[in-house]
Amino acid sequence: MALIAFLYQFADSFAFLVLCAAGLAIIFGMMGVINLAHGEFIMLGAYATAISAHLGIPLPLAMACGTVAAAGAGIILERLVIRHLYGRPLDSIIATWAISLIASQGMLIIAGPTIPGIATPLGSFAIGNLTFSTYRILLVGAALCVLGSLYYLFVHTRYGIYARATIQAPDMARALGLNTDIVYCATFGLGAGLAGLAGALYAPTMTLVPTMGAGFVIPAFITVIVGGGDVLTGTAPAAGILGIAQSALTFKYGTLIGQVGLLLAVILAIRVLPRGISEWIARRAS
Amino acid sequence: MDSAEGILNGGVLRGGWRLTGILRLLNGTQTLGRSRSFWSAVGLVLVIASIFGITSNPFQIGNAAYFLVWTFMALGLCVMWGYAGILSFGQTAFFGLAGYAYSVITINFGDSSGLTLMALLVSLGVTAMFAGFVGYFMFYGGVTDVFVAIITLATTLVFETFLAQTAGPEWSIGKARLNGFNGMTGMPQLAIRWLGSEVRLDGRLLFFVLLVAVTVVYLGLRILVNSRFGRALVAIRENPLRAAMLGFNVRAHQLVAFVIGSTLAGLSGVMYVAWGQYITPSSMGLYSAVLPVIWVAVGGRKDLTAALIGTLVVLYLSQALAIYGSQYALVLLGAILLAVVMLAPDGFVVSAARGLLKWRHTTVLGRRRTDPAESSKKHADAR
Amino acid sequence: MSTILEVKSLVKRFGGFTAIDGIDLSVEAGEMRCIIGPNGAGKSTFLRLVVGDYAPSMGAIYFNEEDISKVPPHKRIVKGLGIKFQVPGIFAELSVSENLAVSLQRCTLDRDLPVEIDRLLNFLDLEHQRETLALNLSHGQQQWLEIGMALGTRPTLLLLDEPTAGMSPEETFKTGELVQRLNAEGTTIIAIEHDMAFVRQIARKVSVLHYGHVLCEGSIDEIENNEEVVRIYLGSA
Repeated sequence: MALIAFLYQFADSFAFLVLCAAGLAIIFGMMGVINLAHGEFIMLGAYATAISAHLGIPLPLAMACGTVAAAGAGIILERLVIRHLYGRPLDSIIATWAISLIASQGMLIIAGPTIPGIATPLGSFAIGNLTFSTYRILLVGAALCVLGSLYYLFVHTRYGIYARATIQAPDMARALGLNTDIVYCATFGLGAGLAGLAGALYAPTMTLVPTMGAGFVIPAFITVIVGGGDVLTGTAPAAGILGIAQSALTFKYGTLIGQVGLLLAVILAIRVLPRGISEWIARRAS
Repeated sequence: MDSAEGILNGGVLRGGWRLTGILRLLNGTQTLGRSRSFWSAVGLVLVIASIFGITSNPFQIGNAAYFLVWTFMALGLCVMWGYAGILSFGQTAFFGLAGYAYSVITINFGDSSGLTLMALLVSLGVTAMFAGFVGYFMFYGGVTDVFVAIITLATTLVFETFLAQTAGPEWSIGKARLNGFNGMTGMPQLAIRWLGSEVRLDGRLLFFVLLVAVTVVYLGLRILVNSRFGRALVAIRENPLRAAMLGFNVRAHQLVAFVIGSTLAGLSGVMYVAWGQYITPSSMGLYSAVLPVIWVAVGGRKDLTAALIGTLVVLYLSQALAIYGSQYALVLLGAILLAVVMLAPDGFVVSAARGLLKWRHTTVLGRRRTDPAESSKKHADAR
Repeated sequence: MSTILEVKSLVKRFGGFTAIDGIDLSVEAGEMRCIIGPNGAGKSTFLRLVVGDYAPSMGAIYFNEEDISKVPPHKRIVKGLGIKFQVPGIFAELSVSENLAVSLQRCTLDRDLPVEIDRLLNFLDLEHQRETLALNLSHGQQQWLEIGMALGTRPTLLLLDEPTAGMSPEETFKTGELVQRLNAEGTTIIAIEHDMAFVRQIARKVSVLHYGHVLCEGSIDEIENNEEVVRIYLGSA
C-alpha cells in the first residue's frame, strides 16, 4: 500500500519536473541562454488558460491558447532582447531576471493579486483506502507525450535537423544558406511554448497568483542543471533521479526539507558533474 | 606565495608598508576619480552628510542610516564581481547568516558594550569561515562563471527555505528562538564604552558610526583594488588561463576575493540588525538576492565609486517609488536593470563619467576602444 | 652544461587519439632550440604538456632535474618556466604598462616596477604605446607584448608557440633579433615555428616532430639534408 502511494508521489514529481524543465532545457541546452523568466512564461500560460476557460472555451482548447500565448510572448522577447545576449551568459541571467521582475510585478498591477482559477477535472479514484487524483495521472501521460514528441521533433523533422545544425555550428549553417535568426527565434518560441504548456496543464491544480512562476522555476533549474542541456538524455533521467530524491525526502520529512534536499542536490551536482548527466552519457558513449 | 594569507599579506604591497606608498594606491588606475576636484567633492559630501546628521529629524536620520547599512554588501559585490569577475548571488545569504548569528549571540549573552562588539566580530568570523568553505568548495572544485552564480543562488535559497520552516519552539539556539517566517526581533543595538559608561548606538550616533565605517571601508577597498592583489584580480577576470601561466594561483585569489566580498555582506547583516533590531528569512529570498546585483550593475560594477553611488541612488529611488506602491517600484527596478544590461552594460555612473568628464589615458575605465587601423597608423607615425 | 629540460617517454592521448606517442627530448641550459614539424605533429600539445596545461598519459617531465609532471601550471611558472601561446593571451582591458606590471609584480618590488616596465617597453620597442589599451595594439605588437609578459616572470626556460604567426617579414626578423638577444642574456629558449626563415635566423639545434614523436634532431643544415625530413616535411623548401 505504501509502495503504491510512493509510486504515485514519484510519478507526480517526475511529471512535474519534466514538464517544468523541458522548455528551459531546450533554451539552455540548445542556445546557452539562461532564462530566469521561465517561471513567468509558465504563469502566462496558466493565466491565458484560465481566462480563456472562463470565457467559455472548452478546457483543452483553453490550454492550447495558453501554450500559444506563451510561445508568442517568447518570440517577441527573443526578437527584442534575447538575441542581443547570445554569448553573454552572465548578462542573460541578469536581463531575464529583470524581465521576470517586470512581468510578475506587472501582472500583479494589471490583474491584481489573484484571478479565478479552474477546478481540477476528472475527479479521483481509489485504491484500497488511498485516493488519487485522476488528473495528475493524466499529467504523467502528458509528460511522456512531451518527451516523445520532442524526440520526434529533433530527430525526424527538418526543423530538428536545422536546429541542431545551427546550434552546433552557426557559421557553417549560415554558409549553407540556413536562416539562423529564424532558427533561434523558433527554438526560443518552442521553449517558451513548452513553459506555457506546463502552466496550462497545472493551472487547474493551483491558485493563480502573479508570482506562481517562482514555484516552478527553481525545480526546473535544478532539473536542467543536474541533467545537462539535452532534453532526452538529460532532463528525463534527472527528473527521474530528483523525483525519487524529492519524494523520498518529502515522504519522510515534509515538503520544505524536500525542497532543501533538492537545492543541496544542485550544489553537489554542479560540483561533481559540471555539465550534467547528458554530458556524462555522451562521454560514455564516445 | 601560495597560501591565501600569503597572497594577502605579501600581496598588497611588497617593499615595505610605507604610508606614502599606501596612500598613493588610493589614486591607482583601477578606480575612477583621482583628481583634486574629485577628492574635494568627496570631502564636501562628508561635510554635508555630517551637517545632515546633526540637523535632521529622527525619521530622516534613521532612514539615512538604513541606506548606509547596505553599502558594505554592495561594495563587497563590486570587488567580487566587478574586479574579480565572480558573480555571486550569495550576498544575501551571508547577510542573513551574520544577522542571525549576531541575533543569537546577543539574545543569549546580553547587550553590554563588550558583548555586542564581540557578537559583531564573532558573526563576521562565522561569515568569513562559511564563505571560505563555500568558496573552497566552488573554486577548488573547478566551478566557474555561471555555475558560481547558480551555486550561490542555491545556497541563498537553502538558507531561506530552511530558516522559514523553523517556526516551532524546538528551533532555538540557547535562549534564541529562530521563529521561522516571522524572524527574530528584540535584538539589542550595538553599544560602546565611552568615558566610563555604556553608550547605545542608536539614531544619530549609529548614523555617524556608519558614515565613518563606510568611509573607512571605501578607502580601504580603494587601496586594495589598486594594489598588486587588485591587479592580479583584474588579470584573473580578464584571462584566468594567462594569469595562471604568469604564475598566479588563480583559485587562491578567487577564494580571498570571495571571502572579502561575502564578509562585507555579513557586515551589512549585523548593521541591519543593529539598526532595526529584527531580521526575517525574506531578506534572503529570491527577490532580495537580485537587489545587490541591480545596485552594483546600475552604477557600474567595475568601479567602487560608481557602485557606491549607484547603490545609494537605486535605494533612494525604490523608497521614493514604494510610496506609490511597491509593485511599481519593482517593475521600475526591473526596467532599469534591463536598460543597464542592454544600453549601458558598464553602468550608468561609469558611462556618465566617461561621457561628461572625457577622461582619457589616466584610468582603465576612462579609455575607449579605438579603431585598430587608426592605432597602427599612430604607431607607424610615432616611429 | 646542465640539462634544463628533460622529457622521458612522454605520451598523451585524448580519448582514442594519440597526440604524443613517446617523446624523448632533452634541452641544455642556454640552448636555443626550435621544434618544427607538419601540422598535427603534436608540437603545441608538447608545449602544453611541459607547462602543465595538459597532464601526461604516460611519461615524465624533468625541469632542472626535478620531476614536475604533477606540479600545477602556476607553480611551474614560479619555478622558472615561461610560456607564450600562439593566440595572444594579453589582458585586453588593461594598458600595455599594466599588462607588464601584472607579469612583473610577482618577482619585483613595487618601487622597482616603473624601472622594470620601462626596461621591457624599451626592449619591445613599445614605449609609445605605454598607455594604449592592449586590445588596441596591432597583431604583431600584441605578440611582442605577450613575449614581454612571458619575460616579466623572469623565466630560465622560455617556451614560444609560433611567436611569428601572422607577422610580416620585417616583424618576423625583429622578433628573431629579440629572441637572440634574450638567449644571449642566458635564457634557454624552445620555440615552435613554421617559418623556416625564422628558424634559420635563430636556431642552433632543431628537433623535428612527426606524428607525436621525434623524427630527428640536429643543426639546421643536418635537418635540411636529412632525406626523410625532406620527404615528409620540407618538400621543396
